[in-house]
Amino acid sequence: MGILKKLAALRPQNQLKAVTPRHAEEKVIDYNNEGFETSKSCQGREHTLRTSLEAIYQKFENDSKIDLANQEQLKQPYTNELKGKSTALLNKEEEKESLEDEITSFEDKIEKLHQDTINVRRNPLDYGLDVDKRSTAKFWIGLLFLLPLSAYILIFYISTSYSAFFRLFDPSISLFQGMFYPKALSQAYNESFLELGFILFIPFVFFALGYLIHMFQANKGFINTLKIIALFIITFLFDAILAYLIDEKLYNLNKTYDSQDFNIVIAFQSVSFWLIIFAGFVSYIVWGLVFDFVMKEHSDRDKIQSFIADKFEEIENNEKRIIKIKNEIKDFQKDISGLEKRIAELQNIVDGFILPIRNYKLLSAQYLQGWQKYIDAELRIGHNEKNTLQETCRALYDKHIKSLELDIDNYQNKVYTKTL
Amino acid sequence: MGKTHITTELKSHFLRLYQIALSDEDFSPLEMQLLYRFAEERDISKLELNKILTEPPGEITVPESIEKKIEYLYDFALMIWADKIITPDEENTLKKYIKKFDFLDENVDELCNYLLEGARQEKTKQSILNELNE
Repeated sequence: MGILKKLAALRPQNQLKAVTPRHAEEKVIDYNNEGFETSKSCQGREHTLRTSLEAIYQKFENDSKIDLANQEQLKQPYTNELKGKSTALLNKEEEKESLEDEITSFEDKIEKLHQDTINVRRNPLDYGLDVDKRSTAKFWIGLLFLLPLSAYILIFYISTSYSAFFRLFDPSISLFQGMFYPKALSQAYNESFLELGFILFIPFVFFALGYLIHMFQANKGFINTLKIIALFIITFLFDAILAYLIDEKLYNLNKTYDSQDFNIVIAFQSVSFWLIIFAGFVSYIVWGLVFDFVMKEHSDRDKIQSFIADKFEEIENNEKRIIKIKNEIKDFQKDISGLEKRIAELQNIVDGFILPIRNYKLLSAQYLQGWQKYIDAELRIGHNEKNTLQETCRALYDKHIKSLELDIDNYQNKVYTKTL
Repeated sequence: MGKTHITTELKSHFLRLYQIALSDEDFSPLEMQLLYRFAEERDISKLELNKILTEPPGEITVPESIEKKIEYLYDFALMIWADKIITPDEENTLKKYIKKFDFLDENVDELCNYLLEGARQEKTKQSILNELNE
């Protein structure tokens, strides 16, 4: 035989089980004998039977209390359940704790996110945002310049384009009046809608050119630089043409027979030509720079704003998670309460004692049998009296069993929980 | 593939394995891996194992057949040897289970040593079971 086979010998299982039935059998006989003997000693009297039944019940109860091994066996299912429930309780509590820890960590996260939303304005670089922290102030100041400049350009180009394309000049017109015509809008309105539309929308060509320059500037590269230069040249040419047209009209008013026809050389030498260009193109360049600056500050502000918005979104998500976890904790708490209640019940059962009451029914029946055996076999009284006594005894016994509720219930054991 | 039914006996086995792994107060990654390997060998998914460990069945049962008893005990020995260290706590836990599995008291120490020695020599479970039938 291999070593393992030898070592693997098992404990005989039936040792304990073999003892129990014999023990029970002995008990049955004892109770039967006791019934017989007691009946004999009191001539089978029913009053004594009543007391005796009470006494044997007390004795049975006491014996059951003392029989610890049997108690242990009876309590085994409860003990097992208690162990299982206790482990389950421990697990649930641990899981609940870990959920609570999770909540704390989420709360810490939220706190930090709140701090971030405050601190990002002070130290954007700490959060990887390469922006000027005074961008808000700069943005508003820039905007303060940009709006009047836009209005100026709008007015300038409306009046200049009107002067260049539609206006009829008369000799009394001064240089400045030639360039700027206060009644351009009302005049154009009176003349035709198309004319009004033309002079109203022409400034937007310049705004759009400025915007395009800004957009191309955002991307570096040779082609972009070329595009920007081209846009500047186009804008300048457009301005120059307007200036040329106005200047030509002014020149033609003062023209004499000796005078040459108006040409580019004359235009280049004319103050009004340069004035129109400076008042238009230069202010247009200034507008473009301010616009560029405002857009940059706005995007910086945007970065911070979107950073803060992100953080708030994160906070909201974390708060949602916390609510979810709190609900889970509530469920756990419910389970834990249920387990605790059951554990307390089981603990009381384990601490109390279990009366195998169905056994008592068997034993007390044996006792009655012994009692009646004496009446039948040895008591010397008349037949009728014997019958009456037997019936009285039986009735007494039934009453006793009924008082213990053994006549209706089918339960095997009566559980006495520990009481305080 | 159909879902494997996990018996209370098997659940009890994994709970004991878990207890063995914890008995040296250090649940090493090696022990963890072995626990999952054992589960895999018995067609138990990681998820199901987690469920067994976190939601104990309540009732804990001892295997009936001698082969199962030895197989389970050898799993315990392998779990103890997983980190190549045998602590007295682990040894005591193994002895406790040998007793629980109804082996004779006088054989407990020897059987414990035999199983641990087997684990140390990295014997397969099958070879241990073969030895049982020799």
